Amino acid sequence: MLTYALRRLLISIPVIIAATLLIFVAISMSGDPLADLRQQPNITQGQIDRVRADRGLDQPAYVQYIRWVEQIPQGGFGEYMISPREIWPDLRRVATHTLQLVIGAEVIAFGIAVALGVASAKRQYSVFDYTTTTISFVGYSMPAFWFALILQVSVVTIWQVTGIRLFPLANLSSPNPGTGFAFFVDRVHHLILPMASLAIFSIASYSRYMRASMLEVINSDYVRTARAKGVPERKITTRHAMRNAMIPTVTVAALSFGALLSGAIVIETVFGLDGMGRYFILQLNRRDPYPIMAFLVITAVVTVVFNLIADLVYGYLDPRIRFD
Amino acid sequence: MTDEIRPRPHQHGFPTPEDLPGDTSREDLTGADVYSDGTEVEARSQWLLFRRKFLRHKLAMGSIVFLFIVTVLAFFVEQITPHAFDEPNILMRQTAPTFEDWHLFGTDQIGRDYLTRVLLGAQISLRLAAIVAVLSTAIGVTVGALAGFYRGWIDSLLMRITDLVLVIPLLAVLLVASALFGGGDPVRIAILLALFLWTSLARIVRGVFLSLREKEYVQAARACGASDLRIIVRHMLPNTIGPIVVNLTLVLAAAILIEATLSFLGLGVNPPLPALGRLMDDGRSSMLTSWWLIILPGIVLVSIALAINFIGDGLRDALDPTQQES
Amino acid sequence: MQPFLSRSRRLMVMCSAAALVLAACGGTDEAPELPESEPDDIESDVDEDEDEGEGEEAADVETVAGGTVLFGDEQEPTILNGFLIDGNSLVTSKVFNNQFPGAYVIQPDFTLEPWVIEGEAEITEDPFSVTYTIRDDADWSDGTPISVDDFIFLYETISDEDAPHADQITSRAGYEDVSDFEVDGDKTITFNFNEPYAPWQLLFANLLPAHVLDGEDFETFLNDELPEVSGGPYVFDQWDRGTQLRMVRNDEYWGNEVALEEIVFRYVPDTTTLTQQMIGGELDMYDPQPQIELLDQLDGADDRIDYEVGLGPVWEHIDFNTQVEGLDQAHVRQAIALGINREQIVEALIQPVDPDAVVLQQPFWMANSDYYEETFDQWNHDPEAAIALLEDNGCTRDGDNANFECDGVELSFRIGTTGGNERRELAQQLMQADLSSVGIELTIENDEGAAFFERLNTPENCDGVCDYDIALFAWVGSPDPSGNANIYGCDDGQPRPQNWTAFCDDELTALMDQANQTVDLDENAALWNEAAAVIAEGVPIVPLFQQPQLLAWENTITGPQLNATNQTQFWNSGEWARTQ
Repeated sequence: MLTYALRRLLISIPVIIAATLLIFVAISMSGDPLADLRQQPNITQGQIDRVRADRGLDQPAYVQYIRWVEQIPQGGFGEYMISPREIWPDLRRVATHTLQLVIGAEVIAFGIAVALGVASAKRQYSVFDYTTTTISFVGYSMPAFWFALILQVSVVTIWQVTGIRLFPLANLSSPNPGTGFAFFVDRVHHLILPMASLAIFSIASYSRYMRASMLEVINSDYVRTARAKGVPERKITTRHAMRNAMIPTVTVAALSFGALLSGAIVIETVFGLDGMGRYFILQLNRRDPYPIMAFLVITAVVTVVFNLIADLVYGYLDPRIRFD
Repeated sequence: MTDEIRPRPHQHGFPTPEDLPGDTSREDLTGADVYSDGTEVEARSQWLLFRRKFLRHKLAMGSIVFLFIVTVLAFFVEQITPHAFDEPNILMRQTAPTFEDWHLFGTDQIGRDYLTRVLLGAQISLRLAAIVAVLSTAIGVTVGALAGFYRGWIDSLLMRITDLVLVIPLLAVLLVASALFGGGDPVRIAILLALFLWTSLARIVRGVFLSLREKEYVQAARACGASDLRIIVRHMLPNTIGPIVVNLTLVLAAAILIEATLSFLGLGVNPPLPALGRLMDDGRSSMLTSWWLIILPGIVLVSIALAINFIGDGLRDALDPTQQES
Repeated sequence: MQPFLSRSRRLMVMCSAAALVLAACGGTDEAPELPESEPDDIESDVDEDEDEGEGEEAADVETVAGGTVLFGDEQEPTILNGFLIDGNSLVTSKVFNNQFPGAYVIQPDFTLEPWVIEGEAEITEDPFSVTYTIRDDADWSDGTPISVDDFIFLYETISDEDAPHADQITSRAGYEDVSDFEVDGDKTITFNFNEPYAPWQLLFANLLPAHVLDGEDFETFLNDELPEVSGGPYVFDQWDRGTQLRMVRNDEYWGNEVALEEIVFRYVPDTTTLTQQMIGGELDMYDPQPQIELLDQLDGADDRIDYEVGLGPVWEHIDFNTQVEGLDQAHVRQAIALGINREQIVEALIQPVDPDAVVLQQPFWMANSDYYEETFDQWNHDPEAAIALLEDNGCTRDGDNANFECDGVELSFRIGTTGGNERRELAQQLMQADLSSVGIELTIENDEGAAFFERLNTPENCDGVCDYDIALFAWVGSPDPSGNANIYGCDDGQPRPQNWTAFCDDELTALMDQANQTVDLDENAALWNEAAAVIAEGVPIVPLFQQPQLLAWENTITGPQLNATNQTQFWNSGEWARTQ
């Protein structure tokens, strides 16, 4: 299994390189990174030429690409194409914020989903079960941004009517968040609505998987055996049933991580969060391929790793699928 | 952990070959045709079993009816509503839903009838989602079948292509495409979306094929000299109908939601075409005073996606032979 | 001048940061008599629209010391150095102008008032020179007086072509015309110019503390933070990129007593979210693009929010690509100008936001300027005249519902603009309907923001004819029209870098160039008006209207006043205070 994993990772490298190349070509073809500069007043042609030469924009595309690749080993992703500032500090900052949001959402979603799935499975066909089922279905039939907007409107309306401000409407922190623990609490307070918006879809989908696999496990022979052997019900639930039933849910959660990252883009827009999504859109508009490729490399690595995990778990489950 | 026995790897939604219809090892058929009193034994074919279970799924049935009604309303919108979708009427702008002048959904910021726009938006969303679903299914099945059947380097190559697709962000491609080719043509968007949504089906189909190719009847067919294509199409593909259909509903629902999100970000269809996501985005700025501008398209969107999901759930339940009939 | 990328969707928002002019592009727009006292008393030509009579004069209300103002902004500075390319944006100015005062301050009505200098600067016309006398009480917060050293430092930093940062300086316009300078004591300096520079009042718009910056690397020193030394009402405190930037009161400010304790810029790149935050009480002030529904929302905020709408310096227009067949004929362009109903466009799209909006009838002076003279009014809506004009010039059509053909070219053109902007799209549709009744066909073809602007360029850069017929977009104006010489002028028949219509008229170019050499304000204005008359004959563009600007604030804040110029809304930030 280890060799399989290593082999997959190694093969991923050319895939990622191919992706960066494709994106680089596409972005270079789609626009002129100097467009903004040309629109500024009193810019002489001489100045434009100087910037071009200085930033290597007068070179053919493959040279520009290599220039970017060369910057990587020097630490970080080098400088932007258009301006002499470093990419990595910005990227690291936004990536941290997005990860806070996404990991928080994923953890919450997983926790609630497991609880819901187990509870519904144990009370199959009850009112509780039907209710949670319906809510789940609504949850993953709903666009995340719509839910986010409704949350925002609710908060404002509640404040207008009662004067109580439940949650902040936007931003990562308040103007004076303090330090240490106070800062942490403030950040969590600001991320609750965004995480809820992101998580609603996942909770719905994960809990369905959890419920289904829990049902199957509960009705399976070996659980019946354990029950017959006198193992207490609670222990059956937690030790045997849940742990086994969780495996496919974990698989789904891992595979969905990439989707969560994409979903984060919209949520970040609605809540004005300083994250990767916002950064990505900004750089795309500037037609600057360097930070976009850096962004791509990071998301690609994350996606590949999580897909690999999911595949390994899946392969573990079904030996016939494992061998590639 | 001595009393722990690892369960069989069967998961709801991760079909393995044993559970799929068409697999002869699990058929209930017996040889008898007639009971001793002369009545015929009704051979319970897989298809009949499936149909019975599906028809019993109330939510799925209800959803089919609902979807049918919505589709009719959406595609015949011109005949149904008295207003055009792009007729501004500054005098009646931003009115709440009312029976006056048949503005059942109210009007938007420049007085256009909202019911018409929402229905037209539903039409566009449905049409786009259908194209995406069909196209992505075609691609996914082809890729998965080829990868699973031939294995070896073809499999590796196709799987790496799959990885490549998974890794490139959808948003980037769409933005770049709109910059290169201009415009938000619904068909172009549908094609681009389809190019990104086929990967999970490909994996599933590939999984099925990987296990099926070793089965006896496949070996037998090959020994008889059947061509690869024939084997794939006649013997192996039918086993994938189940997951294909289920996946189709998933992709349909996903496509609708993704298109709404893209329109929300400004990447969807061009105005004045009123895609649902676009309507929600336009209505956002008046959210606090004209609630219907954003609530109503959202409800319509959610209902459609919900209906599709219920149908998908019904299909899944019906296709799963281990599910007890209740 | 540069094009204004109208903010419609968040995508486009980010682009416009880099596309707004700073003080370097400048000129004067000064009324003959300088108004003397507080901003509140200025006879304003700007259309004001105070919300329900709740505007409070600073003098009338009890204010308290201290307090915070949370200012929401859609865009965030890239770097804080307003003189470098990356910092050449309005958002940077909002921060920069609070800390680094300049010779003059641009008032909301486009006039200029002295700030750091004592009275008006003295000028001599021939040879051209400017003498600044700095106020005696003006000093930096660490006690060092603001002196000629600061002027010299700024001049040298911008002009030095061998410095490492030289490539990053946005513009040397004006400074490069300086031949030498003479110092008289610590507070008086005279700059001698090689040739007259008409927009001289916009030079030295921000002074930097020479004693702090001397020897530092100008390319990076002011990028992520500003020094603790301030010459203005506030001083930089901290910047959390992506979230907020804080400035605190400069206790040593030499001007008035500053009441507020701090101003915090909160960055959220989405107007709707900002509006929600205003209504929800999370923000105190912001200046978004006004849309009809925006005003409705603000009105519905329980009377907590005051706002001011005015005509801004951003003006919208259509440009003709005069190299395209059909549009190369002047009478076709004139017929189009006659055919579109600009009054109706303004009435339907702008007046709901600002009832005082009017059709803009010339491209150089704005409607609220003292020098404004209408020259495009000859092209007011007259469809019959349009048809007559075409027919008189030999155009024909098969019947009243067909398109005209002139010289064998069918009058069918594409009109493009930045996609996703509802107001622009509606304007296009209105124009399309108007022109179809005079036998001219318009097809609408829009692009995403940056892609749209890439179609616009000079023929030289397009290898022939650029890929557009008619373009709808906006320029950011300035108190001074000097930048227009670059947009409508030609050199030996070659269009200048921003002359995207490729329209060449020697008389026009001569007039504009002469105006830029004329320092006398009245003569300068007269020349530009002459140029406006010439351009109204050739019709390479048709001006439409000025975009309204909006400033909204919570009504417990006194002092804010809309200023749509490059001076930004913070032009009088030192006078803001809270009533609670």
